Parts: sequence; C-alpha cells; structure tokens
Amino acid sequence: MAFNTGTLSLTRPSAPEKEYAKTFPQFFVGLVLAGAGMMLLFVFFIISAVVAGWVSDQDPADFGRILAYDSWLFPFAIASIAVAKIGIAVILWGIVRSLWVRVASLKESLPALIQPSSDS
Amino acid sequence: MATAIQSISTKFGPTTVTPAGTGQGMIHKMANWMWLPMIMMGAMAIATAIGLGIAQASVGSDLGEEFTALRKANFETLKPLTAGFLFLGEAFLLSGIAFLLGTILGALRWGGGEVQESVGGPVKTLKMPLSAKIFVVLMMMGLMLEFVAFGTLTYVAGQAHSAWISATGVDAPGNVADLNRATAYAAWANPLREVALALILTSIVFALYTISNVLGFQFSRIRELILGQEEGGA
Repeated sequence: MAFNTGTLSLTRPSAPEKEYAKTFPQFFVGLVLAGAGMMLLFVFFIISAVVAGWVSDQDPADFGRILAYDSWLFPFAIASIAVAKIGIAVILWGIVRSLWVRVASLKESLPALIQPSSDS
Repeated sequence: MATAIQSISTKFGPTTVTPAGTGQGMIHKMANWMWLPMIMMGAMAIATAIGLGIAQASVGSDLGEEFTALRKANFETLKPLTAGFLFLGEAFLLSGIAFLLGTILGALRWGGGEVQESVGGPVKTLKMPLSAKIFVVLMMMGLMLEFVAFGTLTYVAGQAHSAWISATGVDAPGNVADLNRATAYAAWANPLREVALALILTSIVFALYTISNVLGFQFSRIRELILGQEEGGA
C-alpha cells in the first residue's frame, strides 16, 4: 500500500517517523492557545462586571457607553472560546500525527514479539 | 481495496477479515480533506463577527450621543448579523474538530491494517459501527441547522432595518409589523443555533465513544497477534 498521498500530508508524516519519542509542537501550541483563550475570556469577564456596574447605576449618560461595550464584548468573549477550541483542534492534529508514529513503531517491533501459534 | 474474505463477530462489533488492509473509507478521506477548511472558515466567520461587533459598538456609542433613525436601524441590523456570524463560526470550528476525530478514526483503521499486514497475518477490521454512523448524521444535521439559523438571522437583520429606518424615537419603530416579524423569527432562530451546536457537540461524544471502541479492538487484536490466540468465530 502506498505510504502517503498528497491529501494526507498534514496528518500523516510524509516519511515513516523513526523518532518514536518525539513530542509534536502541536501539543505545546494547543496548550498555549487554550490558555490564551481562557485568559482573554477572564479579562472580558472582568470588563463585563464593570459594565454591569454602569447598568445598575442607571445613569442616562452611560447609555451610549453601555451599548458600545455590550456590542463588542459579546463577539470578543465568544472569539476567546473559539481560540480555546482551535487549541483543541491543534492538539487533536498532534494526536493524529502521533498515531502514525505509533503505527510505524508497531510495524517495526511487533513482528519480533510474535510467538509461533500452537497449531502451526 | 482488499476483498473481504469473511465476516466475524467480536465483542467490539462485526468485523471483516481480509488478506490485506482495507485502507480508509470515503468518510475518512472526506474528514482528511475537510478539517482544515472548516477550521479556517470558522476563524474567518468569527473574525467577521468581531468586525461587525466593533461597528455595532461604534454605532451604539453614536446612538447614545444623539438618536437618529439611521443609527438605530444600523444598530438593530448589526446585532443579529453579529450573532449569526459568531455562531456560524462556532459551528464550523466544532465541525472541524469533529472532522479531526474522523481523521483519527481513519488513521486507526488504516494504520491498524498496516500493522497487521506487517506481521503477515489476516487483517481484521471493525465494520463501521452504529455510533460512527450516528456521529456523521448528527454532525451534518448540526451544521445544516446552523446554516438555517444563520439564514434566518440574516432575514431578521433585514426586517429590523426596515422596522427602524423610519423610527421616531428609541422605543418608537417606524414599522411595527416588520419589528414583530423580526422579533418572532429571532425568538426561534436564537435557540435553533444553540440546538445546532448541541447536535455537533453530541456528534463529538459519539466520535469519542467510537474511538474508545476501536482502541479496545486494536489492543485486543495486538494481543491476539502476539499470543497467537484468535478470538471471534466466523
């Protein structure tokens, strides 16, 4: 069977991976993205608490400011969650590549472990 | 593609036994192709929503300073559009994650076949389990419903604009019928977008369940190969 096709080059290494203990950069990048997403979300949460204070003040002068902050806070907060989701995706990408390392490792080591079956 | 020589039953589900690996199915190839475009489209939709949100914030700030019908109409138009793009982006991202899980299943299937081929024995491959079929159906349904919700929110945006463009005050729309129509459509489009996301998330649960089943099958198969004790009957 052909080892690779162009469509799979992102998920399956283009040559058999021999460095079996390799840690893929996707795992680090995924964690950083997830952490960044959560930190951004925390910042927007604090800003939302400030806006909630303006709302409870019921000062007509704050009307425009509240509309403006509400308008941008919502998409930015959802975008922060999206950053964390992209982190999940990047780590899954790393898992797919690790699976192919596992396949290469097993293909190399498994034949040496096979015992002759009792009926052969 | 190898020809199936027999079907057997294992505790992990119906399994085919072939002389060579079966490679990846159509759905796995599609997952390999689609995960990156889905994530990129999701990022673009969310970037668009951020742009719309910033525009809405600017209009909202102006509206707070001085009321004009145009400002009010633009503000009310941008609100559903921002939400529509945001949740469409979320759906694309979750679908990208679901496709990546499909890619993992494809790698397990293809790689499992190659490992079994390397020891020269027959290749056992799980038939597509019910959980995998449910995974695909739920993911597609979720994405389709999210498209419907997005289309509806776009319609709501149009109706909101025509309702407020001739407004005489912050609480006095020019066209009450259009405002009622926008409110009614938004009332079910907003929950629909959440339902769509829930369907995609549930599909991810089924994908993870399928992965756990396939991993169990492969551990069992490796044990069979090493110990030479075949399980399952024809």
